[in-house]
Amino acid sequence: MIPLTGIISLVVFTLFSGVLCFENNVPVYMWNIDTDAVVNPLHSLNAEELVGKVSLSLERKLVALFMQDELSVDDFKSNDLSALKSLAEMENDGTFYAPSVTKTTKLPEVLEAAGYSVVYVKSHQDLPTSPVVGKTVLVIDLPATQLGDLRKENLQLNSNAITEIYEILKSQQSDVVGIFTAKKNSQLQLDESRRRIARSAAAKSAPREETYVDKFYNITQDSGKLFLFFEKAPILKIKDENKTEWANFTLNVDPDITGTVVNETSKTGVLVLTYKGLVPSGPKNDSGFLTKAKISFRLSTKRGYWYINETTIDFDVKINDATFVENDLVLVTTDVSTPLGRSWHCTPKSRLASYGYYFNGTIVKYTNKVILETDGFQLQPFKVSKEKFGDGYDCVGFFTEGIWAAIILGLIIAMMLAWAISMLADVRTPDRYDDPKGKTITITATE
Amino acid sequence: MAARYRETYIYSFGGLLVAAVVVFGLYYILTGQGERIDIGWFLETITPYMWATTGIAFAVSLSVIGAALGIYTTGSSIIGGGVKAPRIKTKNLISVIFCEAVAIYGLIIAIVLAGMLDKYDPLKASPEKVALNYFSGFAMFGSGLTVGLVNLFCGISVGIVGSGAALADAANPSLFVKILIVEIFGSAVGLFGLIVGILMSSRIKMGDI
Repeated sequence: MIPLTGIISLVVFTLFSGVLCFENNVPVYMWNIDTDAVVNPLHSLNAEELVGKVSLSLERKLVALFMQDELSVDDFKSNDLSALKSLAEMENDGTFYAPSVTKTTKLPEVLEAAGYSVVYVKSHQDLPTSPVVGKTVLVIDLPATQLGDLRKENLQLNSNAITEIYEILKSQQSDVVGIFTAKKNSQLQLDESRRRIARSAAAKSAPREETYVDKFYNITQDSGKLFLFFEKAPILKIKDENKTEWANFTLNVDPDITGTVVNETSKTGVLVLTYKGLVPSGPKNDSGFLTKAKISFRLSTKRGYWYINETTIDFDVKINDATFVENDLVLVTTDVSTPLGRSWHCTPKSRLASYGYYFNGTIVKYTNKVILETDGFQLQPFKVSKEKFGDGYDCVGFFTEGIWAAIILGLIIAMMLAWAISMLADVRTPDRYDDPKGKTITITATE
Repeated sequence: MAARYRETYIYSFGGLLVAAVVVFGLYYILTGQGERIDIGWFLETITPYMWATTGIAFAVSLSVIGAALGIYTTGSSIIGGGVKAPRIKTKNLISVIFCEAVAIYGLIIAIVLAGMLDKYDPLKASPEKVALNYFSGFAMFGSGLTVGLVNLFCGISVGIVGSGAALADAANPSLFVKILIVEIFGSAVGLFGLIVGILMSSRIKMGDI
């Protein structure tokens, strides 16, 4: 009797959990939503039922639907999504949580059927910049989390990304509902997830790669070629005069490169980098949005060398709700003078140009307002003979000035040592009274 | 080999130095960066702290070397002469005092210069400030080197004259006062160096303000 009921309940339980697993149930979390709807945790809804439950409360203009690749109930229990939790708690209206929803990939279509217009957001360029009219859903795909050791980090990164994007939307729209869900459950049948962890751990031991790495640009014109290379994205640092903190903007999108390349006889050229649609980054209390930046370098050659004479920058930036617009701001470029036929190469993080000083009537004021910093940079604007860069003329020489100073002072100390050793060579023992054939001198010790 | 180690050491050190200079010079020239061998660049980019601190080091160390050599020369003569003529011992200590004074001049300048050493931020400073700091670095180097070298030679000369004074005094007591006059002239030279060092260091202004 008892073993029979045990077996039956076990079978029922396996089938039940098997059904849950096969059906791929994903939790859905919504915030800034004013609803009294309650979900039975033992049942799983499908996408239509979910939307039906909350559609009355979704009578807002804008819904931001964040789609991750995999999510499970355990992820909410750990501290990895803490940024998301604190964001949700900050909102005036409440939150809504459904622990298992099937067919979450169909959520955009269901919402469309409910009268929303769906916009798929690929990057920050697609985010609306002005308040939206009419019911709209923004579907934002979050980067993959992958099973394994890196999942915790990736979850934290994703929840930070959600917070950032939500803040941007909130600052521009009147009211935004956020929905966080995924396409699949990250806890499938145990042996399959174990296999997947083993495979992914073997395949990838590096953390998520940066997307802007090793970018090469060139301009080819009749009069010549120009090669430009960024190992990592250049950083534009902007600071208000009254503040002490810098807002760093990583220029990690591909710029439009224009310019004129000249042969040596005309002697001047121009390189213009135009950036649009940039990602804001920086310390949390100084976040902002760089809408556009245009950097122009004026290049020239003289007597077998080429120089960057001048850097001008135009930008539009919003830091802490204050907007700065600069046009044709002339920056002071660091000394770039390279022999013709060679490229200027600089590996360490260095300041390429900065706003150093301005003349204000009679007083010259020094204020660093803008710094353009490069991290791995190579440029050859003239006399590109083959399909690759000419020899690199490095911004840091083989012997730096510190090394020379140390060598000179070391030589002074070595000369001291040489003199000391030569003095030691002059030490002579007293040998006036030494006579190998005579009697040994003895001194009797008297008490 | 053991007895001639002075020559071995000097030749091997010198040979190593020459080889290093040749190799690095050829490296620069053959990789097409010959123009990087640039003394002007070196003088412009070297931090003024190197010059300033080297000047302070020279001020005290070269003065002390001069004083030490002087005392070594005159001291051994006083002790040697004092064996047969013990009366010279007390009177000839004045030569030792002249040598010691040289070391004190160097110490004074070093303390004065070290008090003027101050840090500045090259990124925030105006070009005039930076130029003033560079001038201060060079002036401290010049002042320290002047005082050090002058005191070095003054100390050596006072020591040799003092040694002669002690031995002459041991032979004939009336000679001591005459030789002392020579020694005073030798000591005045050290004072000249001190005056020039003080003059140079009076315009030094290092630091942010």
